[in-house]
Amino acid sequence: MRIDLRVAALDEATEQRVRLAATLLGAYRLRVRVDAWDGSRCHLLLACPHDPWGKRATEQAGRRGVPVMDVCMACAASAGETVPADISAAGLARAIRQKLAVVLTPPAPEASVDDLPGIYRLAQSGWRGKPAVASGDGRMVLTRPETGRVYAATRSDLLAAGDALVGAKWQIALEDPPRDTSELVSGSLEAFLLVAAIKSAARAPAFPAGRYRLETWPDLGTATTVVAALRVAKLLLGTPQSAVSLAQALPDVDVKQIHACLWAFAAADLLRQDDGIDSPVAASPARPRDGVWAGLARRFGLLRD
Amino acid sequence: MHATTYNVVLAGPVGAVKTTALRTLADSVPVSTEMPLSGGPMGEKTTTTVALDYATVMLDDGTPVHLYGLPGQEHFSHMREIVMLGALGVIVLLAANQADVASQCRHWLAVIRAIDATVPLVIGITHTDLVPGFRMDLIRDAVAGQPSPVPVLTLDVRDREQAAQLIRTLLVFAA
Repeated sequence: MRIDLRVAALDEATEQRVRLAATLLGAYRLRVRVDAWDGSRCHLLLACPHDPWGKRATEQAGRRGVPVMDVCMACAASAGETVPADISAAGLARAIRQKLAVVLTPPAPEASVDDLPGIYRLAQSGWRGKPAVASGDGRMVLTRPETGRVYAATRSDLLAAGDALVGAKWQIALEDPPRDTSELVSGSLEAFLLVAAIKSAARAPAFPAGRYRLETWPDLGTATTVVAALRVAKLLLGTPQSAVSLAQALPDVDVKQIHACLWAFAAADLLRQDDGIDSPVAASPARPRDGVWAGLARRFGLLRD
Repeated sequence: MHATTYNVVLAGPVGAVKTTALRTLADSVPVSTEMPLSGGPMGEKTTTTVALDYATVMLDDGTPVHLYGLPGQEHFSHMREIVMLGALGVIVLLAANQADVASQCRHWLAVIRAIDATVPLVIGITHTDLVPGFRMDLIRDAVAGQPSPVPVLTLDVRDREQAAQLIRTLLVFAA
């Protein structure tokens, strides 16, 4: 895969190490080209955040949705997400590869909708927002995006379906007219889809590129194993975000989890696409701010995953 | 000695399991002022809070966060403003099996916002398992049009992790 890196406000020695690191990335079958930042789109910008030009380049990159790696010319050691300028070429190669994880996530398959696991099918246009029935292993669940609920004959069927929905063998069909659910048990559709999406996050395709936002807060009251989803949802409730800008704003959250959240929110028909340019998002700290907020966040496990 | 106090308030109508939520969230045994229901039992509920429920959550550094459960009855409404003063956040609990939960939601939103227009707020809907026809969209319609989005969760407050999700959501919104 061909990768375009840009650099801004790095000294000659550091830029040389970036070029060496680019060569080392060949071991991962990445053909990396390094050029000076010129404001055009690329896969990653490496810039010093303390230099006026580096800062300006970072702002421009943010507006274009280009991921940025801060390389501090004044730092002797790594500080949070910032890479020190004296890092070895091998260390830099590792850091770049990690940062590129979003770009390197396999793109959404062009395969037919029928080949996708159930949860991804529900997120496709033509399926979104419509009543559907999913069945497999002798169980059945009914998804009702218009009411934000999912239904099954029993509570255990709901739990089992959450596990099974990530398998491609479940049959899913739209329901028109939707059947009566008055005799069934129900649960939060968003929590159901999120937990299912997270279970398959490791093999999930990347969510389609674009900027998205939530108009409504998803009901994640029972999705207690996916705490990071609350932070993803909060960002999506503000300005429209791409997977890249979310990953930049939440550096401590696994990129796969971010994609899983986007798939789940789309399948629940809560995600809206926005056509504007990418908005820069200030990186949220890897640890919460000090004080009682931080204490409560630790106490209630807000940052555990 | 802590000069500043940190409070989280649980509000909502009678029967919305505020006392249960407080017990689930707290470290300490709650101080409750529960009395038998004057009108007789409401289903399994035989008592109600007549003044306040109170408990604490102790943070790692020893800072106590005070949890207050407000009585749901309107004749105790004068206490709301006093207890909410300087609150970190408010959790409104509503029971899906009570009459017209969407109207209750509008009512309690208005009550809280009239006292403090900016306090972080989260709404928890309980007992949805008892209402097969429960519709989240009706609750979302009820909270639509607020100056800032209001998160709504369905949960079982007897489950510690689910109750904690209310606090986590408050924290995410307050950040």
